[in-house]
Amino acid sequence: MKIKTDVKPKKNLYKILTIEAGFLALGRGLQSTSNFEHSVKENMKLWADNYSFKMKVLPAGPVLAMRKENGKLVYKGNKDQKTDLTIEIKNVETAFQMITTQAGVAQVYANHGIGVIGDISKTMPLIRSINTVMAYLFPEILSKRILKKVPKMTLGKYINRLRIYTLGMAFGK
Amino acid sequence: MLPSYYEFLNPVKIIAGYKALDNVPHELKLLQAERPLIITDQGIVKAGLLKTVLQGFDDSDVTIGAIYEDTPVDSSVKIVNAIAKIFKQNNCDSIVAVGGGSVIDTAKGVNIVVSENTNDLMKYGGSDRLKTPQKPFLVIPTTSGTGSEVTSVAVIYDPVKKIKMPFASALLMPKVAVLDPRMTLSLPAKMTAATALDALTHAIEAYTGVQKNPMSDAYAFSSIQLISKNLYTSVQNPKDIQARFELANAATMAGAAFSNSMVGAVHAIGHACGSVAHVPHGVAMAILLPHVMRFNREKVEDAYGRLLLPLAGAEVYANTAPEKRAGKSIAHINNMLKVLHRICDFPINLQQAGVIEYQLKSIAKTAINDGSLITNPKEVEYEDILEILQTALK
Repeated sequence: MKIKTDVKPKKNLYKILTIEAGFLALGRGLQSTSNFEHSVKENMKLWADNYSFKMKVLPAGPVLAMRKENGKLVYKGNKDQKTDLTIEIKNVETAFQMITTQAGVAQVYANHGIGVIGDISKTMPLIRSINTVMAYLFPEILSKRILKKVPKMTLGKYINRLRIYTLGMAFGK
Repeated sequence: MLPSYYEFLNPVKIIAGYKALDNVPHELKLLQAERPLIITDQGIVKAGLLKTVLQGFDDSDVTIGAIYEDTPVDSSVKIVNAIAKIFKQNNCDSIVAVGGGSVIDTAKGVNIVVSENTNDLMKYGGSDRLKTPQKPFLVIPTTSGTGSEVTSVAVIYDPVKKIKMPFASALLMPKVAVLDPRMTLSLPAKMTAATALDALTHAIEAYTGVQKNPMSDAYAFSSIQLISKNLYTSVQNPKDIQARFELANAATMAGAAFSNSMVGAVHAIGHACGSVAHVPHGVAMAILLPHVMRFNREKVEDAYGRLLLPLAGAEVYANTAPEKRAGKSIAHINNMLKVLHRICDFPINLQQAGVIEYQLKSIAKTAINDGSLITNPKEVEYEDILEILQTALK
């Protein structure tokens, strides 16, 4: 009888890299929209300046860290750091589903895929802002799969989308 | 349709029946506990319910380590720490909570402090922060509403940060819930109605939220059936022990349902009505329920239609065309409120519950950041909440 011992878990590099790219896009998108999108600006009024959050894939997966500075959200990189609010994603597969529009934040929450450490009332403005960014990042055919309500796209919103894809992704502007 | 993925947990042993309290010492011994701390409040003491609980310990070999009788309606970290000190000073080894939501949540907080051996309760706030198995914990509910005896959540006020901190962990769940119908016999009519409609809201929101699953559906469905059957009887004949017992079971079932499916916009807006305008929780739930159902209807038409069966019975269900069932479910709940208003002067709009029009914006601003909105079936925006509040005002 052959017995395998000390079987180490494999790393799914493709999924981890996809999540890291998705987190970077989400981070830049949040930073960018906090400059001009009314709803994100309103949501961020509910956070004090220097309030910080991170989204972290357990146990030691990709991280997205952000902080509110001078009224706007600023992307703070992908290194694990101490923050006021932490959203823990249970595993790589759950984060991958979220980033690839297979499931929205509400669905992932319903599937017990995320846990929150910190003041839950501060989480709601963040979730609404993430949903706004998702609606900009993805075409309606995809965003309607992950959002309970897809915002109506106007000419102004198409211009904003273009801005996020260019200045937003490159410089967070 | 089944969800693509779900989780369901209800490890609480339920002992239910007339004089179920007599089995509490035995249950404690099974959990290797023999020196419980009883946590309750003055209302329970004055109603003579603590005496009934203590009689259940007669002729047993369990010594009650200490009794704390002063849990306030709005408990806080300070109270939790004070009770934890009493637990340690008296060498207690287990906790028995006797009361409603505030007492049970306080007891859960005390259990965290004594089990984690900490003096900083707040660091365990959020989801799944507990790591240590908790002390044996029994709950004897004295209202048929909160369902806290089978939930994994507690909410405790932090006066320093001025926030209500939620704690969620499977480890928080009581080991035993004791449903003895004698414990709710003295509940006044209006309170009976409010707590029962709180339970009804738990069941309906659990049955229609985005986290619903077949297990929670089963609990929610049966709970609604029992509430519909026993609500008026319990309000009109408070001493009807069978109706009280069935209502207590319904509340516990609804608790098991929403502990696994969460709640929705009724709770989000209701919590805000409580914090801004001090509307009692059950009253807020009852008033808002039909209005939020009307708002959510387009997303959960079928589910509301199915609920007509437990709400109104087989005959009404069979005689109603499928496309009219959802509307009739909402109308049935509206009518329920009107009947309760007639029987016990139960408030049926927010104005009657003490809300003043200028408070609506403040309520909506608070509600929009309530975590319960995540699992509501329909996206809810600030303007939606304001509209719901305006229609519920008069």
